[in-house]
Amino acid sequence: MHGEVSSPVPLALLATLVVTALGAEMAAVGASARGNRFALTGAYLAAISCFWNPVAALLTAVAAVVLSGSLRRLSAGRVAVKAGAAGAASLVASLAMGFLPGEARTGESAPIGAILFMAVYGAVGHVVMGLARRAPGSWREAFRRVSPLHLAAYVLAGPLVAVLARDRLTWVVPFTLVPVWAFRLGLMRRDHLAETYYDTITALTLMLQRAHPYTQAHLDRVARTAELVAQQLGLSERRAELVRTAAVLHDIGKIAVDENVLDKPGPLTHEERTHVEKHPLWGAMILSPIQEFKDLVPWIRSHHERPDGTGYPDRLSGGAIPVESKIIAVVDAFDAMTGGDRNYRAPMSQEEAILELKRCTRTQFDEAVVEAFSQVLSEATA
Amino acid sequence: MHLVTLVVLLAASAATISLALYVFVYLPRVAEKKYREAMLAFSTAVELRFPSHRGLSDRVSRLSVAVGMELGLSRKRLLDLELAATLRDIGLCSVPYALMNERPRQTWSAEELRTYDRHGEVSGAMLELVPRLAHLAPIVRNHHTEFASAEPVSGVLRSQIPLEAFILSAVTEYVRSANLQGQLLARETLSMEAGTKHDPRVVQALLRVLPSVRVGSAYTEEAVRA
Repeated sequence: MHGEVSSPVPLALLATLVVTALGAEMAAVGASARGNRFALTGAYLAAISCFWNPVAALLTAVAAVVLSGSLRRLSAGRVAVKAGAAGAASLVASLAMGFLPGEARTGESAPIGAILFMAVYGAVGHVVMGLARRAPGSWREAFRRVSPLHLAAYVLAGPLVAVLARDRLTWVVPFTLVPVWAFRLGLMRRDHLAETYYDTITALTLMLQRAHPYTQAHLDRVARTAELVAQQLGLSERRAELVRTAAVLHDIGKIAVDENVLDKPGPLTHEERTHVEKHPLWGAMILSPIQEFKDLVPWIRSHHERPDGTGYPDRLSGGAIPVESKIIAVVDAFDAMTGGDRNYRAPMSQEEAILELKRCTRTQFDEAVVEAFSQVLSEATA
Repeated sequence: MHLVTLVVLLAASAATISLALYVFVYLPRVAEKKYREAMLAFSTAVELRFPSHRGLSDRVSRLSVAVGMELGLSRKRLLDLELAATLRDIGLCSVPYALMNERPRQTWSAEELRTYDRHGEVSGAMLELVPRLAHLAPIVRNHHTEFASAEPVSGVLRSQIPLEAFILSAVTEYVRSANLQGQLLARETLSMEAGTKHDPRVVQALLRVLPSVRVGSAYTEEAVRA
């Protein structure tokens, strides 16, 4: 059994840990839109703190951030803030390690100590960064993006470096950068993949915009409000985001609609109405090949259904219509009535449009959705 | 070596191998699948707006990839070529619905023809707004540029036009022509236009692959995956 290792730590090992810590910091990848980054530097700092001393870990943390920030050409102010956060996080993590028995820092249970150090280092770093940027909630965004892949890397990297340092396997330490950089590549490629989703949405809306130029501003407003109404109705954050995306794409089927018919002032003929009423169906057809849109397709297909069963294309009624479709229907109609959509009608005031929505509840619109929409609107104008 | 050290090292090695498989095998497959799904959505949108284009995108994509393979393009360039073939006509959304669907091309005025001819430019401009598709803009923008005119006269240097654009140009023209006048006449027209309207290398490659490619079959997809 290993007890606490008391033999002097070779300088070569300490130097290697410092250099690999710098390398690990270079492999950091973005963890939030606000600039938080996810790195495995903590694994090396833990070993430096336990096998050398906390001050060396603190200095290494600061040096790694300064070097990485300089290479990324960040402003001096940003580098200073990041370095301060890294230094503070390293200090707090080292202090936390002080509560552990020596055996959990440099002995048999060193892997556990390393995991604790990394957890404290990561958490404190993100919180300090959030406070420094006056965006205290930003750490939540960063932590929300923590996936099983992140956790696996965290749980493995710390113990790996800890046992290598404990067993004085200096020559193996640099090789730990191989999985660290593979991890970086994996995260970057995965993020790149996620962007495909947004690119597809952008390209499709650009096509719609080209076919019917008036719709873009309408879509933006409807999307923003639909998400708020979904939240008001108690839908989960994820579902509310999907409602927003569905609202952006709800009229995508209008790509296939003759713009002369869509913009026709006055009543449509039966044939024209039939043509226009196919757009929810066409929207569903366009989006259905995309796996990530599979939840949205029925919502888009049903956004012109009515609770009384006289809508289109499937004449669904009441509970058979997804609540997400009902939300889009209400927000879309309100925007159209207040002048955001059809430019040939005299726009109504917001009060008149709300009254009209309430007048049409149970027949055209869902009562609960209209109520939630009214609340969102009154909160927005308060 | 201590047992715990050994276990941690083995776990780290297994994790590294898994990570490598994830990065180099799994993610590229998912990426390709996502691209194909998006391509299907774009071509469905264009075909719904212009029913006369039904099936055209698919045929042009498959044949373009076959020509690209014949010309030795890399796997990455073949995937981009396939994507560009699907996206080349998204700018058609700016062409009036009635013009494309209700009136034969022979009856179009000069102004209407110009509107139609701008669709490559519009498609390119649209793609430039999408960061991860912007690199396809030069291909799409020039997919109707004539080979011989792509010199100082038109202000566009031939060397600046990607080979993929000339592939799309020849294949699109061939597929359209084959639909109208049959494959034999289409091939003859293609041969006559080599060096003037179309890049001769592309024409030669297209003529070579045509006997072995049943347009509309799964040949190219399988070949690209191989």
